[in-house]
Amino acid sequence: MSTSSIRQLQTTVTYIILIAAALILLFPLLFALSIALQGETITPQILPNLRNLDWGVFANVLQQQPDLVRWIINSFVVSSLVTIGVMITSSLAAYAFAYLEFWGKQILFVLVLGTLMIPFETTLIPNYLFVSQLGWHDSYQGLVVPFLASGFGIFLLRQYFLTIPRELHEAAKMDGCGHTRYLWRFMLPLSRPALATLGLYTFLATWNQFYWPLLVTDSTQWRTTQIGIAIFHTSEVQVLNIQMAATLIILIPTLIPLIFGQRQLVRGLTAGILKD
Amino acid sequence: MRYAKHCWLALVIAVLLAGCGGSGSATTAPTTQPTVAATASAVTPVPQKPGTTRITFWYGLGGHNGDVVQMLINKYNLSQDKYYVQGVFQASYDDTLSKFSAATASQSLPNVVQIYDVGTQRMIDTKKIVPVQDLIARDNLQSLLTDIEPAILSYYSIGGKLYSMPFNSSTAVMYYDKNAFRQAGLDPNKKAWTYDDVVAAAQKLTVKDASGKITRAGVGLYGYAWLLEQEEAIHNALHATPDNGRTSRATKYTFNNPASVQYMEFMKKLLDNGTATYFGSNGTPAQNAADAAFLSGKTVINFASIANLRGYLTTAQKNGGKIDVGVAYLPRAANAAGRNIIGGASLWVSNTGTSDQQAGAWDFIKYAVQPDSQSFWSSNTGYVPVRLSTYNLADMKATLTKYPQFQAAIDQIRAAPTTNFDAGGVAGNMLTARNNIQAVMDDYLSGRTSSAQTALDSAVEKSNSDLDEYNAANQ
Repeated sequence: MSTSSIRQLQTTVTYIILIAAALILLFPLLFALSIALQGETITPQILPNLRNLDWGVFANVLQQQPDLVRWIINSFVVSSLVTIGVMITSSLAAYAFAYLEFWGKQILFVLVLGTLMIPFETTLIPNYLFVSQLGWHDSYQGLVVPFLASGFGIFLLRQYFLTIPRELHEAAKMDGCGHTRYLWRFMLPLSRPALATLGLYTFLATWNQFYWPLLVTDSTQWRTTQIGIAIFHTSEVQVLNIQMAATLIILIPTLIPLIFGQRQLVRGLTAGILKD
Repeated sequence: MRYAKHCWLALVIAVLLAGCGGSGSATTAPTTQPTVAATASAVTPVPQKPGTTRITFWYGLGGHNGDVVQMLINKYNLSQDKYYVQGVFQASYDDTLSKFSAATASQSLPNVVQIYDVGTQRMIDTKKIVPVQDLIARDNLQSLLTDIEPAILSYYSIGGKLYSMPFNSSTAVMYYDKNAFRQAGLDPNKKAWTYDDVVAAAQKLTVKDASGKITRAGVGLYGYAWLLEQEEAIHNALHATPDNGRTSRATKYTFNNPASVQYMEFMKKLLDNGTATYFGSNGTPAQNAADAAFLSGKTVINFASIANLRGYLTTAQKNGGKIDVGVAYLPRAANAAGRNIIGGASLWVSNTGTSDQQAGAWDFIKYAVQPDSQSFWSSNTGYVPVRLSTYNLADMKATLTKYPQFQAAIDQIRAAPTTNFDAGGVAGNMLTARNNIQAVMDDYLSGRTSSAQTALDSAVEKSNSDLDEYNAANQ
């Protein structure tokens, strides 16, 4: 056997394994698609009847609930604002914890870490009362502001900032570079992998929020996707095709940050791998 | 780097655009569209008439039933000029109750809220509600009270007082395929089945292939605490003590009684005989699987809510009409003296809001249960009408003619007089108790524990310690 045919065989095997892995990973999505296309039924099959696919189900979803578009926009706006907000507050705080010397720094940092141990449920009611006191019911403020700072984000970025050699900071200082400029021109570009991780995590976590948006919104046009699609859930017999179609529709926007962020993430995994 | 910059720019622009579009439509969306009650599209709320008082109504029904709720709200809003009911869908029964509890400390409680059957004690303990019987007494509406289906009235009454107005009620029944019954030489019209009858019938109904694999099981089973509660009521066994929580606050669960054990052993026997398929005890997924198996002819008997009837009939017809859906009573021991209970949800009046709003809340509730509304509701959903006089209306009569199977469900809840036993249990942590019951049902039915008594004992113990905590916090 020649080397080229061995190589060809290797490639083929690799591809077969990759396709199998992809199928396993995509199974939930494909299964949802399969059920969505089977038409209104309580007795779904694993595979749909390929000669009788009901693509109209997606149009049906939008016809039944035209507000779905609005819910997706809401979720997208809220998730994006929270993501940008968390990235800004976390990088500023992390920079302070990593590079500045000030009184009580250690104690403050421990406090920040401490917030990670407080479950969301404990602060839910006080937060809710506060937000309703401010009259932020049914508004973007109510959905966004409570999540603008994140102990996890500060911790993640501080640790990452600490891995960047201090000498760089000193050299920049020698050349007259201030803190703001250093953060903006050096730290953030160098920390892109960590920022991308934080951004993706925050975006998806916010996108998937259920209980908070349920509490602080009442009118249909302020709902977010996760609450919105509950309207497709029936309390008695489950007709699944519409539910699955709606779920697939609300999944698509979450792919946008993933596509943009993946490049940064992959770069993050391999960055500096050869230097150390 | 440049790539990333572009992406962020695009994202920011998208956000800004979305933000603008959003706020624009927010101000116009609720009032632009007239009422259209087409079946395929969403039911849009009718616009508020000027000068009407706004009543907020939270409900937890989604899907088709949620649409019918909104239709009923629209009918009410068009029927009078004093109040405007704004229906707010709160994702599910669970979420509605949990949001109501969270909101008790704030000023944003609704005027009317739909709460499921197991939420009664919790709602009373919020101390934010007005018992509807107080309003009935104030307005001298005793005739309304006597017109409520007794099984439904008793389920929502504590100490002889009706706390919330029953709205959507259903009850559990035994579904079966009449064709398979005929084929196996069983009476397709028999309504009352004992446990032994079902065990014997399942033997005849089960079909195995040459290798001994079951191709059609006699019975489809899943662990469902609501069904266990039904069986307790049928056999006059107390779910909780004292008096099922009907005379005073329930302090201990007692669902480890002989009736429950008997029911669990009945299911186990069906499984051990190789005449039943078990679909799990994890709530909706198990029920969906059991529904699907029944409707595709893989099981012949299935236990579920009467509210499923329409879905079953439509699917059976769509699948080629091979299954002829019949409805019978839940199986029981030969000496059973009680009747089964209902489930569903009821409407609660909150004590918040202006006196005008409270008057409107009560007015809407009276509208929602008046006979023609209930006939509309029942005919469009499949729930059991709350008011007895509903059955005199032509619409309801037509519905019963169209769905003759429905009658069995009504007869079943009238099979015995109301007592504290068959009123069903109420306690603060009913939901936790149901989950505990289903967990041990799963252990027992899938063979991880061998004694139904021990299984139920452990569920009682767990539920009781949780109930103690609940009661301590809510005295």
